[in-house]
Amino acid sequence: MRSLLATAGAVVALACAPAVQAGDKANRAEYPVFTGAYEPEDVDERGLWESFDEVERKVATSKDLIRDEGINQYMKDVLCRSVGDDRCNATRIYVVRNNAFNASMAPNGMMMVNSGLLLRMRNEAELASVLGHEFSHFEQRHSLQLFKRLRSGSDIASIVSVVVGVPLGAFFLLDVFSFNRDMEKEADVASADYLAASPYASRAAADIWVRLIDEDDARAEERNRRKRGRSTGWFASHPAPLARSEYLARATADHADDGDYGFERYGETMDPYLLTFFEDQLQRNDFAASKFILDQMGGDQWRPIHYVMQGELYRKRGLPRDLVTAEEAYRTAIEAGSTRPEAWRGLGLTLMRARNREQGAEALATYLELAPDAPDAPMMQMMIKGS
Amino acid sequence: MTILRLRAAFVAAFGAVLAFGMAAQPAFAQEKSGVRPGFEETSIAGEKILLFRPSVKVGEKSMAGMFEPRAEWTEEARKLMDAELVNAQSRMSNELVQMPELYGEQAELVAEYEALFNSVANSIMVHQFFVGNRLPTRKRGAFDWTLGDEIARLAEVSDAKYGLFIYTEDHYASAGNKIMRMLVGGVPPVHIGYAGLVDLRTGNVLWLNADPQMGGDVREAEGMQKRVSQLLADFPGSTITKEK
Repeated sequence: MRSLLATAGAVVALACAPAVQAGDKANRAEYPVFTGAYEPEDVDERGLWESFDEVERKVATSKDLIRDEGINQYMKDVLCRSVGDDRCNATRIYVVRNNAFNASMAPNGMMMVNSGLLLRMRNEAELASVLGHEFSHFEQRHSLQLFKRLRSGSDIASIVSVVVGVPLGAFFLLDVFSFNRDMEKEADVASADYLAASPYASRAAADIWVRLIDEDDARAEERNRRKRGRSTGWFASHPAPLARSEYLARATADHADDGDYGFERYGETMDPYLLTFFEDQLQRNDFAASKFILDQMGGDQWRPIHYVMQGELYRKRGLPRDLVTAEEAYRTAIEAGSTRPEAWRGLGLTLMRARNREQGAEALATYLELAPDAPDAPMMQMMIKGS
Repeated sequence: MTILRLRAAFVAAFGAVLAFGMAAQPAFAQEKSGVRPGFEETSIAGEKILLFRPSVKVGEKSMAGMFEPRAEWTEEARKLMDAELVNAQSRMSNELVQMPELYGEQAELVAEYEALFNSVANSIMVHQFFVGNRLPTRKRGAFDWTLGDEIARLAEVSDAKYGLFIYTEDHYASAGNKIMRMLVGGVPPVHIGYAGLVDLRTGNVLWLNADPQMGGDVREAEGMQKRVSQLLADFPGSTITKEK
């Protein structure tokens, strides 16, 4: 336990070390050899590809996609900088509006990245590490391996079930989970290699998992439940975040001295989306974790938009004392020069709820001046009239 | 951070293994079709019908019951289906117009209605057609399902008054699966199909024909002929008769 805590401490210390914004890395590694354009080989793989081609048709026309050219081009650029130009063209990235912290990779090269993940990344290097991880699932054909493992595992399980009984048969399926965890670890390690060869700061890879542990700690405390993320369970699909942060910190230690974090590029690209992504996060009714995400995002450089988010966070929980905090947050945002209509909308709704109707109606009127075509305009007009 | 399909595949595999513990399910499901009350077959005579891209899925069933998609079978079945639909048209009074490859907003609109039709068709099959989860209120209820009249936007785009949707999914049992089922029973392989006609001006589902145990090997021309004839049997106003 002691050594566990010590390593965790080392990882945190590593993560908190001052960021170096440097151009080229001193000791950049080489990319592993890439075989180039790949076509599915055996009958199973062709089947998997074909079925995911059908899935991709549906994904490509989904209403949940964020289609803006800017963010999509950016994702592609980051992947290319992360895994190298010859690799990245084998995949298509889809940015999905989904508040869960996740990204996924299909065997045919379709990569999906959730907005909930983009909300939690602090810089481009972290995003690059995740994209590299997903790409590695593709390059190492993990879906196919898992498919074959599941089939052989279930075949054995069915035979054992027939011969000695169902409970023992089911036991033979359990190793599929550890097999999956091994592949996740393999992808993590490969992603660390990509990052080492890329212009990005390798250290970023471990930071993600340290923060994920902290986020869950905040949630666990609020919900008064056991803290997770430190040990890996039997049925876990991934290694525990603590383990991931540890081996990633070790794997990237050699390349951790410099390299680019891309704070500004990431910030500039995500800025127009942050409020929407945060509103989606608030739908999870997960106050402590949302607050943690906001605190991490703002760091020691809170901008007006962060105060708007803070207002939303507290207004939506809506305890009497929250309304005071929310009002103050919106007012701070407005004083600091926020031009987001949402600041006045939030302020107006907060004041209305606190029974300060006159001022509330005033703020809502300003909101409608700034956003006359807002979808909720008729409702806001009704509230102004009713006040 | 996820390799897609783990969860779904695992649930399927685990379910398949557990199924060995249970007795074989009786084959109860039969072909069913429904026609909207008040719909007259003559009203579609000679009208243009927009054919949505048929959904075709063909694969093998592993020993334990896992679905293994087969690209060759699926591609072949899709080709045969397209050819057979052209063939079937000669026995209908309607002109079938293939859905063109669309881009941008139109593609999204079509995708939404394809998804909506699938959901409604599934509701019809589960809650009205077949025993199991049939709702008491639906058992003798009217066949009055609709996709909503906003589908009229598709009528404008396509210049067709009616839309035809087709779905087939086939899991052919592997040798291992056949032996397993001989030994301990288990769920028979899936051969499900349905076809539905929708009024593109009102969104009303005019006709749906569904069968969870369809005949005809979709990997061969002859089988596909049988499959399409079963799918389009009782298509309003057609002379297509079902091949047994």
